[in-house]
Amino acid sequence: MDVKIKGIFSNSKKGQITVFIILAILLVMTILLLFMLYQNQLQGKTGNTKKNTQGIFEECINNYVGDATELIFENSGYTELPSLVYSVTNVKGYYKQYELKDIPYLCYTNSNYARCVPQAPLLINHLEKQIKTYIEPKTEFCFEILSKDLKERAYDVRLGKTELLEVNLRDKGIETFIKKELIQAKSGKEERIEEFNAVYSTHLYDIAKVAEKIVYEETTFCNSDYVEIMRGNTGIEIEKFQTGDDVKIYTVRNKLTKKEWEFAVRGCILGTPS
Amino acid sequence: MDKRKITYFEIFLVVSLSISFSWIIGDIYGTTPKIENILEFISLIPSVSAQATECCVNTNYGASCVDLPTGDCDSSCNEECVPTSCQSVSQCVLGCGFDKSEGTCNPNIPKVACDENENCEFLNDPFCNVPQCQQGCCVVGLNSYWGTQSECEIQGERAGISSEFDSSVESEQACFRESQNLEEGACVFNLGDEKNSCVFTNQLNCDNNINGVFYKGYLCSNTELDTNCEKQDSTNCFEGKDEIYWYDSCGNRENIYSSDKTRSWNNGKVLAKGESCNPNSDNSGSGSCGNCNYELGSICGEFNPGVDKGNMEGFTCKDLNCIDSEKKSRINGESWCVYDGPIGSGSLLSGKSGGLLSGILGNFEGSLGFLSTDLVGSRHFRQVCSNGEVQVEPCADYRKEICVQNEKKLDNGKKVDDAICRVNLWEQCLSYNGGLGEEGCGAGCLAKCGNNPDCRIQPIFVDSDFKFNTCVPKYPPGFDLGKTSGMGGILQSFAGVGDFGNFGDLGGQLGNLGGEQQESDASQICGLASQTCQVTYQKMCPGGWKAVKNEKCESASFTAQMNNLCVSLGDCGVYTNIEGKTGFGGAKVSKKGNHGKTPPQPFILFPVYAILSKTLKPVPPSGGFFQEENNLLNLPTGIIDPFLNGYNRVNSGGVGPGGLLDSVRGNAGAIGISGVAGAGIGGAVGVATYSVSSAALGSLTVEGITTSYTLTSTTGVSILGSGVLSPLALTGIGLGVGIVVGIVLTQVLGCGQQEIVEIKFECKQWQPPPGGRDCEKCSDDPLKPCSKYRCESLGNRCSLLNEGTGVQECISIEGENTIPIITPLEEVLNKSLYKYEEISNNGFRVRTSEGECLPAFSPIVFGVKTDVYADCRWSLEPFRYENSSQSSPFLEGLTKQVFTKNHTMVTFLPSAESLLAGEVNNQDELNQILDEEIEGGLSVRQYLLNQVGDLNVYVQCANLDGNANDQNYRINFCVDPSPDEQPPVIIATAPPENNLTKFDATEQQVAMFISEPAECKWDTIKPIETDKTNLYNSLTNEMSCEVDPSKGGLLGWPCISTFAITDLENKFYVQCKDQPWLGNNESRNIGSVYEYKLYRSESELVINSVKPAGEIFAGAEPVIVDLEVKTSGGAENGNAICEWGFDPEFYIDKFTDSNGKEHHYSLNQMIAGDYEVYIRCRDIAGNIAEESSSFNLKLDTKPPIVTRVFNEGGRLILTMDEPSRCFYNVENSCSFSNENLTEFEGGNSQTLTTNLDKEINYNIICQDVWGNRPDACSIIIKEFDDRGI
Repeated sequence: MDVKIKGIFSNSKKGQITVFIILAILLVMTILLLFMLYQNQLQGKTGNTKKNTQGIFEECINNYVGDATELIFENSGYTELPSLVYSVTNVKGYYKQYELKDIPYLCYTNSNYARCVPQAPLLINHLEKQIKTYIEPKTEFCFEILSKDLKERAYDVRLGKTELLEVNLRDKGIETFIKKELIQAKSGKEERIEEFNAVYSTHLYDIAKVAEKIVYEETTFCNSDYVEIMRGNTGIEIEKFQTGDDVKIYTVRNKLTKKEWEFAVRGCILGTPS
Repeated sequence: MDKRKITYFEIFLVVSLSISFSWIIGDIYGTTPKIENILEFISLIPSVSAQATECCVNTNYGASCVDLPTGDCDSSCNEECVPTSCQSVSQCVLGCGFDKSEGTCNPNIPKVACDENENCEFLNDPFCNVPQCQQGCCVVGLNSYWGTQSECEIQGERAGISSEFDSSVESEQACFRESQNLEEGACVFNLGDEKNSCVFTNQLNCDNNINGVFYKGYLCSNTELDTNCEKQDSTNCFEGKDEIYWYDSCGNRENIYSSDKTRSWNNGKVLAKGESCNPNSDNSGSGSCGNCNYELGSICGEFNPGVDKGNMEGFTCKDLNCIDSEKKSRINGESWCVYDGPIGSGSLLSGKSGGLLSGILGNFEGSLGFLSTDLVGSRHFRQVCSNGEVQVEPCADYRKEICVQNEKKLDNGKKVDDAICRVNLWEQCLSYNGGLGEEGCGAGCLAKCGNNPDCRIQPIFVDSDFKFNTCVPKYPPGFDLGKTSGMGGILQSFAGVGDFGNFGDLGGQLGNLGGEQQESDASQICGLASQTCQVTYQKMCPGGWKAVKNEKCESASFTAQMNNLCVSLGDCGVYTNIEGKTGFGGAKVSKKGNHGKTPPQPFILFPVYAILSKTLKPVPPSGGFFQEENNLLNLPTGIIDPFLNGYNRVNSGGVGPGGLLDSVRGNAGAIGISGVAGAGIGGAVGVATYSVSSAALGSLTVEGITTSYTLTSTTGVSILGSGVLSPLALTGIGLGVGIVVGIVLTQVLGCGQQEIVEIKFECKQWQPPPGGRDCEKCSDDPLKPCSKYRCESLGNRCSLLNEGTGVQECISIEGENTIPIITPLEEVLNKSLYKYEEISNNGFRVRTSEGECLPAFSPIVFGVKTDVYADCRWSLEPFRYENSSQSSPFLEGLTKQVFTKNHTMVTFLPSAESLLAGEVNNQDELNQILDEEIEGGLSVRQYLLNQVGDLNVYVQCANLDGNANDQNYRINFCVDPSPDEQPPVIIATAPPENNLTKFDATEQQVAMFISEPAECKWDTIKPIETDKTNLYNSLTNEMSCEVDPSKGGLLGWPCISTFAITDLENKFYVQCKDQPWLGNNESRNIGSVYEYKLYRSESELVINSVKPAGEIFAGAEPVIVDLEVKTSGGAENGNAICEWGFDPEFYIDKFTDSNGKEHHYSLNQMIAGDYEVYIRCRDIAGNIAEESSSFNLKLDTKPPIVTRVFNEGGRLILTMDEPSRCFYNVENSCSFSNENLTEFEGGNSQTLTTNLDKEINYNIICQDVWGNRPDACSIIIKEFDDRGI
């Protein structure tokens, strides 16, 4: 019995060491495992924050871009209608008043015997400027919302100056790009975002390109073959109406969304002997 | 009180009387009304006086290079206005703007507009005829479009794929076709899987973007390629292509759909459109061939049961073609010209004149000739078949544009019409006449005239000494007939027949009175055809006076030819309008001289023209399409009017061809007679008398003695005669005697003397037919919209009122030219509250029904009536109508001048104190000002009370001619001067009281309109206080109220809040307190508690049933399926509006037949299959119910079967497997005809009977309710033995 005990005891030192080594290895592995898990979790959290930051910004800015787009459809190419102007003959110069509506001229000349002059040349560029002007003062508000949201989640937030605001009208929608530094810090960890992007889905580009084409033909040929334009743009329908005083009113409509843009053209008018 | 405040007060009065307009505007535009807009509107009403213009290079509203009135320019311009037209300003030169960011070109833009944009490069050619702007065919991926090379590259970059630009493709259409013909095939690649992956695309895309191996002409499902794509997995449309396609299991497009799958798959190779099924058909309605063809009038679309025909796996070739007004089939996209009558040149004799006119025509000795036949008031129209609908595109009115039509050959060889409106170059035609060294239309003119498709030569050949050519418009222009209608026109018309009747000078005088005798543009153009023919008369001995030259000028031929010329110049002469009618003052013929006769007057041509207008069919001119436009117009600059250059008329600016007339004046003799003796006639256009210099040689022969005379006329009929001895008379003895005798005869008897007789044709502006009986015909044809020109051509009393307002109307203005008589408009006055009194010719008073002054802030609707159509304006000061800046319009004319007979106005009259409310901050300050003393010892309070105690609104109304009443019509008001003790009253609510809300509503936004500016509160608990002040204070919720006295509306001053909806019946208690400007002053009046109720819908709106459901049968396709929906519950016990569709996201149509609770819709093009129909109903409270129903539509094509035959009491009984009708014959034949048939009783049921005769055989045939029956007998019963049955 003693021997046995002794024997066991006599081997226990080696066994103890082995057990300790095993325990140590397990401990290290556990720590490593925990560390890795924590790291992953941390990374995951950071990733989500990034995603949320972009998402909150995108939602906010697209809200305003959407408003701007609606206004552009409503005001025929303008987020805000230009002031009323009257010509000497008591007729509004830059709107065609038709059936109680003021329809802006996209191509206009006051003179007879002359082709019309585009009122918003480089139309895509014009629309981008309109949208940019509209959203510019509102972007800071979006960053305020973003900042507030982050602070509520216990982040320290530092916002830099807006260095660039770019609006691009593309066939897939309206792209907004803002270059502005945002530093968010939590638990001593700091994260820096330098650019914000958003894409607002709309058919404004397609409609504007068709309007541009109509204006191109009107300035060149004094007319437009809108049926042929429809042929080349199967998602668009165009209506054309000629008023008694030879002003043409075009309606360009997206067949799917029914969004439409109405504009007037006055050009190539001949005199009427009286 | 200083004058400034009084002025403020005056301004305020104007404002306060205008306030009501805001709500009207709100109604019109559907937006929140803003008084500022109205003020802006009123303040912006411009002066009508003509002003000089200046050039604003940069406006403050974004436009560049705008010519603005001198007075307005500075206020609209970002920089100093340039005192010249923009055309002369270097920054405003027009050119081409190349958009570097888009790669596109923008023709005709001012330089400054381009310079200001960093993406814009200015190119000097305004038409963009520069290399950067050369357009070609761009292929980006599977898409192709027409654009510049830069644009192509940019689009490629944006898409992240390479693009290909081909400048050799000639047109957009060709580019489009090119895209259809891109060589496509299978792009195979491997992602490490067992099978290959594949994308169906073109080589460019495969090589550059996919990096696969391209198999041209292969489908991805081709077994040789060993891909994972299974053939013909589904069908679908493809954007940019017309046809229905098969798609493989990888989503790749395959060949055009055909129910013959094997043929369509084509062994896994691409099958060209031309080789696919029915390539020359549009295949609309086909159920087996998806080869749709846009050019032929069809395009792929989702199959819509009940609407479309031909279901090809959920898709169909949608029919896009049209039927035009002449029942002719038109291909989608086809365009054609439509006219009001004959157009272009035509012959009077080419119409079917018939026997009726033979007498008249006989007068013209076959010389009626040609004329330009476009009718007065007519217009050219282009009609287009666009996606199944005929759309009308009116060309510019007054025939400033003409419709030209070509034939276009489609890819399949089919020819269709292709029309377009283009500029009518009529002015060029007139300008060709009278070129340098030419009389009339000489050699140079003839060449130009012949080459211009819009011109033609009008030859006049009346006699050998009265002949000339004129270049005239082939499509004569319309003139502004408004200037000749009305009184002036009538008088001129009267004057026109002066020489023919007994009105001679009187007619002329009346014409002058009409004010139309001055040389207008139109009358000068017509005047080109006013010519005088000199007929030479010589006294013959014997024989008397005889015409020896131009004698045919006295014939009807002269009248006809000259009137044809006259008509061909424009709306001149005697001719017909679109209704075949005319006035007769457009031309006349007169004679001056003692001999001969006056030719027939032009009006006798009218019947010929009238028939011509109805019988001559228009032939659309060809040419003038876009590709020819530049050639046609020869346009070197932005001016589209090259003929102007020669006549210094580049900057016409205004309306009317004044430049043309100047030019013609500068070329006197533009139309001249190329006579033997060179007698130039009437060269100077627009000059009433003509300088005539003729050298006519006359001769007299008296029995061997010839005496010649030279007769020179310088002023028409004055004759100078002088004998000149013939040299022959000097020979021979008898000659001396002869001379003596001759001289004696000449001197004594006048033999050989010559006299000139002048036959004068006067061409004037066309006159509309008298009266206005045809006015309403202007709007008869919806495809030919009424216009000012069209309307005014129908009668001299026709006038288009309210043009462009949406309420335009062609009316007869018979008797409308009198000065309007103004009377009170009784219809709009609330007579229970107010009355008009002391009505006189000069005005009336408005008082309460008790004859008292009106309480302050009472809304009042009043107005005036005029006996003729008039435009009325009002002001608080006496004014003149002509000075529009001093006055404001009535409600009807707020947005545009509208002529009407009822003129309405709505207003609130302010209290004296409220006029200063905006000027002070509290009651003390107000009292202080009110007690101030102003000039004359009056306090401000007294002054204001005097003002509101005797308030006049002055009115002036002008008739259609702009003539207004001399005296201001006065409407007098007075406001009760006593302190405001009237509590505020809630006049209206939105939504209305007791309105229903949705079943699930939790809140409702409510607007209340108060009778005066006030503050309001509300609560849901009924207040129990008796004291009004306490009561008001006990209400817990405040409303958002408009408290500015100047910002009331038609319904009063609005207060808005959101009320909580918590129960079926929701009560709200609202109370208001007036005079907010008094702050906490206790004198403020508090109104009664207003109980406002809103009800919640008691139950949800429910769709109880939708039919059909389950299996339904029909006998043949297409099947009519009646949808039936029943609703209950909701706001009105089931009353609702329902709509249906086959997709819950897209409802196709509303139910057409609905009584509120039962709704029916008939689908009449259904085919067998499974359907799910979705229904959505909505009631007045906004409750929505949705439901769907599935049904399986089956076809029953089998004949009915006799299941049993037996005898029952001497009756032969048949039982059937389905309701049927059965017939029999006894002729032992299964051939049935109507004659030998006897029908069993109980038709269309499953049990049928007839009397049994056991001696005969029954050959029986049965048919079910769908008409299915066997080819032979259904059953034959022979030698009837009921034991066997």
